[in-house]
Amino acid sequence: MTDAAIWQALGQALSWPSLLASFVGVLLGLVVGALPGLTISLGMVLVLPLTFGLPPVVAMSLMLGLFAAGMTGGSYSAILINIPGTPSASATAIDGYRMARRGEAGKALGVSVISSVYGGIFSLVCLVLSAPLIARVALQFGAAEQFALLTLGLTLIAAFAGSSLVKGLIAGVLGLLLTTVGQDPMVGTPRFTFGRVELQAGLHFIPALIGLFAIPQVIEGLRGGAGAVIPRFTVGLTSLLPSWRELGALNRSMVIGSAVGTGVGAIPGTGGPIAVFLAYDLARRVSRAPQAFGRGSAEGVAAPEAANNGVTGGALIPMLTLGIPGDPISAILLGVLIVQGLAPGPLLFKEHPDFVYGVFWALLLANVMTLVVALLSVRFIVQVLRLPTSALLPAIAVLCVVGAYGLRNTLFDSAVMLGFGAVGYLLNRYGFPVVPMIIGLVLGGDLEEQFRLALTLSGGDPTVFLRQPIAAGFLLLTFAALVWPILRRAPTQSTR
Amino acid sequence: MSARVGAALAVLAVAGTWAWLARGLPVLAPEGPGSAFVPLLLCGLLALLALALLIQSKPAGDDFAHAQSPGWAQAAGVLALLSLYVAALAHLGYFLATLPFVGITTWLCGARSPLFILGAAVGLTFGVWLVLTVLFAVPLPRSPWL
Repeated sequence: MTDAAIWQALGQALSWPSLLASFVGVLLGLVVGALPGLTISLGMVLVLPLTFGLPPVVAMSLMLGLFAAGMTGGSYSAILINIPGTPSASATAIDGYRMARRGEAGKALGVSVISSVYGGIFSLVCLVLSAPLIARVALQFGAAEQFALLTLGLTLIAAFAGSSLVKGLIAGVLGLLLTTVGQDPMVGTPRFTFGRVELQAGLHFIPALIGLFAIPQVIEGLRGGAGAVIPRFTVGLTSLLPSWRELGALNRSMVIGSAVGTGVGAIPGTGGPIAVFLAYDLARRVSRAPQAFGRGSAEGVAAPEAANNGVTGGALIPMLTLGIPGDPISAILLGVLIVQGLAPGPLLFKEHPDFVYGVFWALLLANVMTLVVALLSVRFIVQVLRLPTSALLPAIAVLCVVGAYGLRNTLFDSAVMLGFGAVGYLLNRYGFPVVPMIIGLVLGGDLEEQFRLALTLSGGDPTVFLRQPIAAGFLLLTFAALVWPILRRAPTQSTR
Repeated sequence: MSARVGAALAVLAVAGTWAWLARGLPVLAPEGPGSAFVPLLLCGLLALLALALLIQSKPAGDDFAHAQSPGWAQAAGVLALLSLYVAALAHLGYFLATLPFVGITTWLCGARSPLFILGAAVGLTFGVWLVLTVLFAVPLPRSPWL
């Protein structure tokens, strides 16, 4: 990676199209994040078709803007109506709503925005410092190590995505099984294509993403008629900006939140909802006024908000360096890269350093843009909380269908998207998590290729995965990830 | 039959069907695993997991409870409506298919004013076209006879 690449990337990130994309992304993110019932993943999936024709850095500016601002927007409804706009804003509601009830809604929103940006920039610094090092190490991996690493990533996600390890694993394996549709990655012969030309290249995971995320929500919304109406907020907004002195007092909570968010975000299968409660608890433990937590403490807003935006940079670490998306949002970002013809993983750092730096700059821009746009527009954006979410369902349905079509100009992809939507709905109804299935769909092709490559190179010797120390280490961790939830549950059950 | 047993049997059926579909593919090739190797391995894993689901003790707060709630017929209806929309796109193109689809879904969302439904249908149909096709050059399905 050279200095020239850094400055070239800065030029791309500061071009008018990138700035405009970032602005639009931030605005959409704040709205999507603020509306309970609309998740950041859903917002990103709906915006995905817009990126098909955009240059890579512009496309990432749009998506990262939505990602970072969505995390911030989630706090709006948490603070004003005690309903988190996104699961990652759950902990913010505890103290944010009490501050609002006390007449400090403006200050709570201001603390939320500033802490979010603090966490976002902290995680960006961690990403910039660690990603090139991890990528350099990962470049040394052979087929056995890559297979073991991908297996570990998928297992972690399956193990932690839902309440049941077995259900998570079933969803993950179903995703892997669906990636076997199409040409054999080693010899190119067609498998499970039923003679259809459209299936020769396999099931594209973008229609799958759209279907699994958005269609169950459309079905739930439309079958329920008018749907739930969000309670109106009645609190007034006073001054948004806390004083320098107040900010200084929040510094410790923001650092804790940022560090927890970045660290948790970098672990596949975890993400914002876990990070915010860990950060909240840790901030309470080290606070000089722990008794104020739960009663409207600004520190109780700062820590989780710094944490959920800390996740943004953290989640990009395994996605960019290893090609492993740790959560649904990074799976969507990975989809953007694939549509752009870029393969995430260590080679990305070697072959497209200008793009990697472009992503870094775009994330910085997204955070700065969030600070400015959120503080200037908060009074207007909170008005969307007066909208019933069901009013957006027709638009979501149309965007899903035509968005899937726009990928390859074929309604076959729209039909595939609907098929995955039906599967997603069934999985939801039966309590299976959809995230492992998505990650299985993303990683399946690589997983099979590396597995068969390792076996072919070793002359069919299956001990190749245990003879390589790094591969064996990853597989040991995979085993631990499988066994740990069982061991953790065992004493609980025996005492019941 | 409980939802848990139904789910386990469905997973077993998927594994069995996939393994049956893979029957014509080579399991082993001279240079290593063949085309059917990984699919069959995954089918075996899936079958084992289905059995684990079948025999595992019922956890506290059974996460199959939601499967028994009503609404399957309405969900199938919504899915049929979406499928009809995709079929209409193929035969009528974007505009002629989307206008009635948005009208119907807006009505399903609880709107009853004809003027509002018409406004939503026209506004959304042309709004999506404007953003996707005019601004972002994303193509939309065209009518074969317009």
